[in-house]
Amino acid sequence: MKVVYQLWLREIRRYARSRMSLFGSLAQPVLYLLALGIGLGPVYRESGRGNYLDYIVPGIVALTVLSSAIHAGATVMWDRRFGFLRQALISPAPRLGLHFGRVLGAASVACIHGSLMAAICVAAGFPFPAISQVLMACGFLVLVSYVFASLGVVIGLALYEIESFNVAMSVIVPPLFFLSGALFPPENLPSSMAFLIGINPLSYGVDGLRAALSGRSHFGAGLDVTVLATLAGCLTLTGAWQFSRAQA
Amino acid sequence: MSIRIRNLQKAYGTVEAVRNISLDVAAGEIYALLGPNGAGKSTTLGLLTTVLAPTGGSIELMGLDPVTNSAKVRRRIGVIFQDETLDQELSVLENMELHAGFYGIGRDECASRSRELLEDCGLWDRRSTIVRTLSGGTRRRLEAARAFLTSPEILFMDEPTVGMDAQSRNWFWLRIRNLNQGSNTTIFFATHQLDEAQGKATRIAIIDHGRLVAEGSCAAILQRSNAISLEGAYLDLTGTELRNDGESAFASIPGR
Repeated sequence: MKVVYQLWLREIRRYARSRMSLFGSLAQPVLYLLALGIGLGPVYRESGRGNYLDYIVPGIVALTVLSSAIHAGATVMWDRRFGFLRQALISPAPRLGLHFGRVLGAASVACIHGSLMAAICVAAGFPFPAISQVLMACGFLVLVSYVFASLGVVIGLALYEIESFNVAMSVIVPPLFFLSGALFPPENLPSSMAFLIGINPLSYGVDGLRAALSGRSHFGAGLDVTVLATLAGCLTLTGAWQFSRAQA
Repeated sequence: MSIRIRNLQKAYGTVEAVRNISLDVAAGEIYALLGPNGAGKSTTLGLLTTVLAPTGGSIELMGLDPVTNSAKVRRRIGVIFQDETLDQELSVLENMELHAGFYGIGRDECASRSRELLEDCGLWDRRSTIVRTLSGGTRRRLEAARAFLTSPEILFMDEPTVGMDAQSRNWFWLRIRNLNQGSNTTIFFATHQLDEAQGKATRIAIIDHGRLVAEGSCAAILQRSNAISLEGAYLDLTGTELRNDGESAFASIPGR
């Protein structure tokens, strides 16, 4: 547990000393909120589906969490390049602890960003949720941030060049976001797109957040939790296995 | 025996970085691995410290195989790498605390040991300083203090005093001597500095192109080589040709 706590604390301290990461994580979601949430609002309303801002906010919050969490992988690669990973790997710390502590730290930062984004959305006109909704949304925030921080670490451990990681992120993150039901309802879509949305883990995070904040769900909150929790477990085991085989 | 190596080999494809090295190091000994750039010193250290897995031969550390008992071995050894491994964005004390976390050292013990070690190396007053802002030599001192935190039974070091000024080097070797004499810690260090090997080690192994070319006390090596100085013996054994770091097989490992 000591190593988990120290690695979590390390991420929090580094985050507290790096203010630029906050702006970097919020810039794109804010742009989407303004350009799409407000810009497309009249078009969405005319289609009879109501307020587009209400629809898009869960997806925007999920994007904020995704962007922040998955870059835990970049931290792994910087640690490898600058030697810190080597010190961790030659220590007797359990490999599961090395993965878990790092992911918890990155997930905590992602949750902070997600919460801030949610506050910005409320300021932009999204209805202030009830306490029960907030608690449920926090649960999904934690799950989504953990899953994608884990995924980032797994990818980061598999690659050796930071440039490769950046390329991988530019290929992975946009499809994850655009095919998650974040921007358009997943109902009545061509079967191929419905399939892609169905196998996208972020879809269950977006759906869970939407269930929490607006009571609407495509998959059902129970399935959302099951999928995300299962993924979290699988990625944790994968990450621990990778740490056990990593050569610094 | 603290360290026992038999026919140790490490190959990367067709490149043999370490070729059939065999040596023994007794408990409490100070042992130097000497060799030119690209000789295989860092690779050998990597094999001994569980960073790398051998492709042949065997290693025994304190009676344990570091390949099959890596966790037990890691708990009992300390390592000072040639390259920095500190977290540059944390403070001096935070780096010590993080290291203590890796080794399961409790908060109270960490606090008292960290204070003792940081006071000893002149860094206690700078415990809140972010490592990135320290000079290279100061960071090296912190690396050493951090390695002493866990009171290892064997301390492995790769070019430990690189970047240190004379005062820091003096402090460092005094601390090493205290650790060695007070706790019977085995010291195994790789260096290409002949004066360091000659002045600090009880025995020396000279390696070149991955092979052991001489081994024993400095006097024994001189006697066998008919040289009048360690430098003369060393150059006789390894040649005077200039070496490039890029010839090291280690450099071709993915991610290096």
